[in-house]
This record gives sequence, structure tokens and C-alpha cells, in this order.
Amino acid sequence: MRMLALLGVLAILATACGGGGDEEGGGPGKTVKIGFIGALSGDYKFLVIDGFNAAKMAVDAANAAGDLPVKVELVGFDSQGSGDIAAPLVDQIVGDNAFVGVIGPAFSGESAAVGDKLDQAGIPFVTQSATDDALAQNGWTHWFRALGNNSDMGAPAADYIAKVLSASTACAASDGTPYGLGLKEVAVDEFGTLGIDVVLSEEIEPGGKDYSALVTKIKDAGCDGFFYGGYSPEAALIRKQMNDTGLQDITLVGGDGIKDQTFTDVAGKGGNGTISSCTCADLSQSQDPDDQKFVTDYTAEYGQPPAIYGPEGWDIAQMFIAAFKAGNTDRESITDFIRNMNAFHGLTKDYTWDADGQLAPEARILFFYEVKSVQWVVLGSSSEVVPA
Amino acid sequence: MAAAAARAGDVRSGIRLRFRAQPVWVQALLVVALLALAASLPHVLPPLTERSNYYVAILFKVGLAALLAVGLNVVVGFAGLLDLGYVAFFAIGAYTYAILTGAVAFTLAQRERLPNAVELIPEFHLYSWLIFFVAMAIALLAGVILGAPTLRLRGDYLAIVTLGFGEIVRLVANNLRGVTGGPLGVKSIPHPAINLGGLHYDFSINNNPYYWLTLILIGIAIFLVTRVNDSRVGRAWAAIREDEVAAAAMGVPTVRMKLLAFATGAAIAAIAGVIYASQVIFVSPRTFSLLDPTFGSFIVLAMVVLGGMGGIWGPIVGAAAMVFLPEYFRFLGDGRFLVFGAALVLIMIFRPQGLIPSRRRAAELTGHDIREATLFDVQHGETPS
Amino acid sequence: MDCPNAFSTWVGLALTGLVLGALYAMIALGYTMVYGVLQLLNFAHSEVFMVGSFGGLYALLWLGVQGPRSGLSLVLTLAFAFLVAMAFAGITAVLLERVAYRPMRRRGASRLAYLIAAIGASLFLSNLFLLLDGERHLGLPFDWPAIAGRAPVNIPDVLERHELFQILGVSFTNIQLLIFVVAVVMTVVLDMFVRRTKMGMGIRSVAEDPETASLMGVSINLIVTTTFLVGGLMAGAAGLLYAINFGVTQFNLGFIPGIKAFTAAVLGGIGNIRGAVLGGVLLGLIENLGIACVSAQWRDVIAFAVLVLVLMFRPTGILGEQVGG
Repeated sequence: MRMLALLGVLAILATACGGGGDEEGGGPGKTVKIGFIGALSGDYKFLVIDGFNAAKMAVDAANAAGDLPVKVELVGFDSQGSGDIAAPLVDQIVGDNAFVGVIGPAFSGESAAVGDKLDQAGIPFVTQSATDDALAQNGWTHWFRALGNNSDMGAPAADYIAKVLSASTACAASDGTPYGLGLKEVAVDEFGTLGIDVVLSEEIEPGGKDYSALVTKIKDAGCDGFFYGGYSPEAALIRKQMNDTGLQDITLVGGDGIKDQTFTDVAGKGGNGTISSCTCADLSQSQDPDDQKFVTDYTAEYGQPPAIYGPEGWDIAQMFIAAFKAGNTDRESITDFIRNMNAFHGLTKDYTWDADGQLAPEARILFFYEVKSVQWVVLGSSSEVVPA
Repeated sequence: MAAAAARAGDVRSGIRLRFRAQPVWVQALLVVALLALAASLPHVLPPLTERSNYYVAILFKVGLAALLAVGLNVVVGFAGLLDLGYVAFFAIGAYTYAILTGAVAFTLAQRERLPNAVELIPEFHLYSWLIFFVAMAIALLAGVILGAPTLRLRGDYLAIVTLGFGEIVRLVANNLRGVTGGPLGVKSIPHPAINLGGLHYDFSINNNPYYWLTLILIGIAIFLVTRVNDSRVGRAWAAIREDEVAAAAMGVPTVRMKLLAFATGAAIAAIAGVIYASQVIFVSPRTFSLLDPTFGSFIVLAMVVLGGMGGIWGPIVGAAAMVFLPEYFRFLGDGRFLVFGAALVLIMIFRPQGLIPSRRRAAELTGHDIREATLFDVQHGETPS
Repeated sequence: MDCPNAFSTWVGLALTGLVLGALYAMIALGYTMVYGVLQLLNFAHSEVFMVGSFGGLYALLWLGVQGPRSGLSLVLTLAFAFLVAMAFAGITAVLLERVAYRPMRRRGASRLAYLIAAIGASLFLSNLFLLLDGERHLGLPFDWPAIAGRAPVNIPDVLERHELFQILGVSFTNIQLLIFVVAVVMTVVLDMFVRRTKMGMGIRSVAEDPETASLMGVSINLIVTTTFLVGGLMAGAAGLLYAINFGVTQFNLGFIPGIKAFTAAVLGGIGNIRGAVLGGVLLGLIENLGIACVSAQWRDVIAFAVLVLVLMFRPTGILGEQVGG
């Protein structure tokens, strides 16, 4: 009897102590939280972290300016880009009424995984980088995509391979993720439209080290164009292993997922000449004073200029801040505010949404980037780089 | 150390014997009381906290982990079979639910970009509760198929075969996209709903009903498992654990008894899998890897071993510890598993029988003489079969 | 099923399979020897392999390797890297034995307890390297050194990969030659060690019958330590080769190769040194040829299926269970 009672008491104490008390009421001085879901560490970190840093900068500035009815806290949730790590993390967001919005999830796979729960909980979630087309077809009413999608990237990439690289046959590979596979399928469809023969279309295991089987098959297939749908760690290893087996003359063309420091670090000089078709903005050459101020502030704060999806992270944070300024502090009203935004002026574009939560087509951008001297540099917009 | 352990064992076996000495209805009442106590936790928690739904999510995880630990305890603790692939049955339960509710079909239709995909959004129907039983049946079948040729193997080999099987199940779930959704997982798994006559209740993102459901299942599992363990089957398991050759010589049908333990554990894991899938809404093969920090085979094994094999409360306390401690020690951050690994080693060196061992298992694991223990039990009124 | 048409592709897959197999074999030797002597499945051996690869990385970094080297400089660099890698791995293995397994031996722990301790040690070691990323952890007031971490770590390009010659239309590179040579040399040396030296005889005797061996004056502790050390040395060499071959290492490098090496050891006959080598080579071939006609994602399933089938139908492995045989 004692034992049972003891265990019962322990259990209560345990859960009670696990509390740590957030006893928030309403009223001025209340704290609202914005969650940021994405790979804040690990292999995919550099595709995501600048968005987080930029958002944090925005939130800190807004709090300091003192003209908001609430205090805003940005809370990072490190999903390492994985849906199953994100799924239990989302419980923290959904189960805590202080959370009124989410920036992200950064990747398409994790968006698919946790989107249902976020939508059911009525939390507005705006992604800065998840580009899988299918995300728009879930019937979610609280989801927004602040950039173009896979169709916007994959087709121009295939055009580039056909028209700029003048390839006659193509190999395509992906990592099998919703993002990578979806992107590859768009590219393959476009190859078909252009009349380019796709002689190899394969999936690889992300997170692996040894892609010799894929590389052997590429060599065997004898293609002269190669499209890879996936993220930077795998792309860099594939690039290296292709170079090691004499395939260094085949350019690797990918989407936005390869355009980061991880790719250049791991591939090194062997990555020079790699092409990325990206629906992301690069503000480094911009003449706009707001853009330049952002770049300067970011560099001062974090020691290096903002990389991929940094500006977009800032833009989304500003959306939430604008919602707060207009007096919206609960999930539904913030969602309505964001949904009704019309040409909301951001650093990268002016945001207007379609009915399904995607960016209006005229707002979407597409740029090509190339690795030169182990650095990603912008080549130009799609219309500038690829002949019609 | 041994003396202290023996004394601790005395206290517990004393409690256990006094419990058993009560009439059955008193026992049932006590168990119900305990369950009611546990069930009230969501309201005992700081109820006005903004985060209480999240805390109940943690309680729910504890409940699932405890269910898994109880199930694995049947295999490892009662029958002495080292199953390193236990998470496979959990996966079977989760995926059965995902497939039969149509979540896989919906996920795949979306990925194919089929125009009518939105018609396939999964819903939970009245007869969907049958899925529980289907999941159990499939897991039982898998358990038997795996077990029949391998349960005659030596301990270490059985461990490795089950490990291999666990990984194969995960990898097959990963590769057979058309059946399971592949490495991208399955999304939009529906919550259960109760539609019985006038009674209508939809589970949703409120975690309280899920928590209570797991408590009910744990109660049922404990009840059934204890009854089975107190019967001839339990004694056969003890005999097999202690000396299989002798047991076989005495006429114990060892393979059948081992299969029974294996199958029971599998069924319990499958039920846990079904509930898990319906709460988390998204399931993917990576959750079911050996090393998953909450439900992976190694972690559940650690729950059973650390908590104390062979008893009932041991695994449950082990489960609670293994789920709560990482939450408490969030300041450790990624260092949680460093500490956890070191703790495993230290505990195996200094207290291999775990926190709340069954007396018999404690004696076996520390290499003490068994005869003394059985004699003691006989003196206190347990009749040998 | 679209199987490759070119014969050279098959040859290529077989060749890379053999190379992989050689690596598995080297790791498998550690598993098999420890099992032979202690009947212990040393789960943490995969982490010993990982530590070895990091040791090799540090050696190359310490030498300031920026780009490929050649000639004598290359030979000396590699030799040093091997020594360091093997030392790291060997020391880790010995520490493992001393800190984790020996106290359990003294207390007469059960097989199950050993297994769990091995799992704990494996988690400890891999997470240790996960945390060496230059940040704070465990609430300690200093930054942990940034020598590993979660992300893959690049290995300096010490060896320029180039083709040595062609076999049946497939290029055979210098790295592949290095792997083979090291594997063969290690195996031969180990075989001679076990068969011809006194220590080796001690190992075999303890593997066969520990009680009689100790009665005959063999120091069990010394034998056990030596066994772990030797296994660790091999794993360390394999770790460096793996790192050079794939150009990266990572805290969780050991998990999959570890299980596959264990499969190889079982396939050949656990406890049996020649079996471990045979098993490794066979497994490498089976895996690579097995995925020729199907997608590469089935590679691991094939390896585990081999494991399960071997244990179901021939648990003693191809060559049976004797250390010396």
C-alpha cells in the first residue's frame, strides 16, 4: 500500500514539477511566441539558419522599438529537417496557447508531417523555403508559402541543361524526399517536353556517404546532362564522387536545396561550375536602401552576410510584427490579417496570396546561381540566363 | 549491496503478497483507485497554465512507453528472450492503422498530384475500431513467423536475429512506397472518434482523451499479463528462463511457451502503435529505428532493464524515468544520450537487476542462488505447480 | 527489373563490393575475436571504428595536409595517420574493456547485462563525438572542443585518386589497392599472431575453455585486454581507410558498417577469424551485386536479410565457430 501511494505521489510531483510555470494572463505585457521550425543544426543547417537569424533580428528590433501591444518571443525548434523529429516538437507549439504563429517549417517533408496538426490548432504557419507543390493541396487554411514552388524551379533548370549546356541526353537523381523527388519529377517532365531523352532516373538514400552505385550508373548511362533534386550534403558528395570517377565534365544542376555553404565546404574546388536554380533572393547586389540596410545590419550582428533564405525569414517575421501592430494577438485574427495582406512590401518581393496559400504567380522570383571559386554567385534571373 | 537489495526485495514482495492476499474485488478496487489517481493528473497539473496540453502530451508519451515496456517485459522479463527488434511490432501497429484508415492512399494520391486526392482525406468510421484488432492480429502473425524458426536459437543469436528483423521491417516500410508511403512517411492520419448511439466524441488535438485511453489500455494489459504470469504459463516461462534444457526435460512445451510470450509482446506493441499513430498524425520509418530516442528498441529495452525486469511496476517506472528525465534534463540538450549511455553502463555494473526488480529476477541477474528464493516463496504460501 | 547491360558495370559493382567487403572484414575481425573469447557481442565496436576514423582525421590535420601528396611524403603521411588512427581506436577499445566490461566480469553479470552495457557504451561514444562541436553542453561552463559534431567532417584530400590499371574495362584505383593491401596484410598478421605466438595461443585457449586456461596459468585479464586491443587496431585502420575512401567522417559513422560487419562475422562463423574475412568479402559482394538490378535503397535490407537467413538456417556460419580455424 505504501509503495503504491509512494509511486502515486512521485508521479504527481514529477508532472507538477515538470511544469516550470508559464502562468500568463492577458493584457499588456503579455508575451506571444512565434515558433521557428527547421534544421537549426546538422547537415542541413546552412539552408535554414539565416532565416532564423534574420527573424530573430527582426523580433529583437520590434521589441526594442516598443510600439507593440505585446512582447514577442521567437522560439527555435530544431527539427534537423526531419518530419519525425518535428512531429513531437510541434506538440510544444500546439499545446501552448502562447504560440500564435510559426515561421516554417523550412522543409517540405516536415511541412507535410506537421502541417495537419498546426492547421487543426489554428496556428498560422508561413514557410520561407518549403517548395513542394503538393503542400498547397491539403486544404489547409492557415498555411502560406512565401516563395515559389518546385514547378517554378525545376522547369527552368531543365531548360538550362537543354539550352545553355546543350545536353542531348539527361540523367536525373533525387533523394526521394517530397522536395527532392518532386523537383526531379518537374525537371523530368520538362525534359520530356523539350524532347531530351532521360536515360537514368534514380533515387538515393539521403544521409549516406557512398554514392558509388549511382555514379557508376551515371557513367554507364552516358548522359551529358545531370539534374539532382535534393539538399547540399548529398549533392556535394555526389559531385565529389563523380569527379573521382572521371565525370567532372558533367555539370551538376540542382534546385535551391544545394545553394549553401555546406555544398561549397564539402565539394570544395570540385564543386566549381555547379548550377542552382533557386526561387530565393540574393540581396548582395541590390541597390535598394532597405535591402542594403538589412545586409549591413545582418553582417554586423552575425559576422557574415545573409545567405539563402535569410531575407525571406526577415520578411515573414515582419508579417507577424505587422499583425501585432494592428492589434491582432490571437491565432485566428493573425491568420486573417496575413491572409488579407495585399502586396505586403518585403525585402525580396511584395506578398500577395492565392486562395490556396501560395504566393501569387507574379510575385514569384527565380534566379540562377553558380559556384565560382568555391562561392555561390548569382548569374541572373531566369529570363536573363536561359534563352527562350 | 546484495543484502540491501534483498531487503528492498523483501519490502516489495511483502507488499505484493499482502496485495495478493486480499480478495479479488479489493485488488481490483485498489488498481482502479490507482488508475483514477493517474487519470486525474491532467487536472492536477497547474490547470490554468497555457502549456497544459503540452504536459499532457508528455504524459501520453509516458503512457505509450509504459505500455511498450509492459509488453517487452513479457518477452524479456518473463520469458527471458532478448528481443532487440521490438519496435518492429510497434511499427506494424502504427502502419496498419495508417493504411487501413486510408491515410497512405491519401498521402500517395497527393504525391502523385492526382486531382481527386482531396476526396481521399481520411476519416474515422464506426467500424474503424476494428483496426485495433486487425493490427494486433497482424503483429501476432509477424511474431509467430519471426519466432517459429528463431526461438530455438541461443540468447545472443536470438538478440541479433530480432535486431535484424526489426531493421528489415523498418527498411521495408521505408522502401515499399506504394504500401506504406516510403521514407517520406504517412501524413493526415485521422484521430479516432466514438459514434455509439447517442454517444459522440471526436478525438482531436486535445491530448487528455489520448492519455486516458492509454491508462485504460495499460490497466487492461497489466491485468491480463499478471493473470497469465500467475498461471502455469508463467511458471513455464520461469522454468524456461532458468534452465531451458531441464524445463524441456520436465515436459514443458518450450517453443510454444516462448512463442506465446513473443506473440503477447507483439500484440501489446501493436496496440500502442495504433494509438500513437492516431495522436501524432504523421508516421515515418525513422521513428521506428532502433535508436529512436523515445520508442526505439534499445530505449524500450533500457526502460525494462533499468526499471527492473520481471515485475510489473519496474518497467512502468522505467518508462516514466526514460521519458521524463530527458524532459527535465533539457539543459543537457544533446548531451542527454551521453549521460544516458553512461548511466546504462553504470547501472549494469552496479545494479543490473534495475530499480524495482522482481525478486526472482534479481537473484538470477546477480548470479545468486535461485533455490533460496523459491524456498522462501513456498514458505509464504505460494503453491508450486 | 532493369539490370545493367554492360559487363563492365557488373565488374565495377563486384569490384566496389570487394573493396567494401575488405573494410567490413577488418571491422568484423574485432567482433569475432571478442565474441570468441568472451561470448560478448561488443556493440560498441562500431564506435571504436568511428573513433579510429576521427583519429586518422586528426593526424592528417596535425600534419597540415592541405592537398594530395605523393612519393615518400605520402607514404610517411599515411603511415603516421594509420598509427594514430589505430592508436585512438585501440585505446578506446581497451578503455571500454577496463571501464565497462571488466567490472561486470568481476561481478558475474549475465549476458543480458553485458549487452545492455555495450549498448550504453555505444551510445556514450557516439554522442560524445556528437557533442564535440564547439558549443556548450551538459551545463558545463566551457565550450566543448570543435573537433567533430553533428555534421559530416571533411577529410583532407591526402591521396589523389587515380586509376592504376583497368580490369575488364573497369578502373582500379590506388585507393582501392591501398584498402586491399592493408586488409590482406592485417589479416595475415593477425592470423600469424593467433596461430604462432604465445599470446595468440593464449587467446585460442581462453576462447575454447577459460577455466582450464586459467588453471594452466594464462592470465585471463591480459588475454581479454589484448583481444580488445587487437580488434580495436584493426577497426582503427578500417576507420582511416573508410574516411579516405569516402572523404568524410561523422559521429554516427559506425552504426551501419558496424551492423554489417557483425553480419559478416556471423556469416563466416562468429569466433572464427578466417570466417570473418570470408564473411566480409561475401557480404560486400552480395550487397553490391544485389542492388545491381534494383534501386540502391535495398542495399541495407539485403544485408539484414542475409543476417536473418544465416542465423535461421546456419547460425554457426559458413566456416563454423572456432577462433583458430
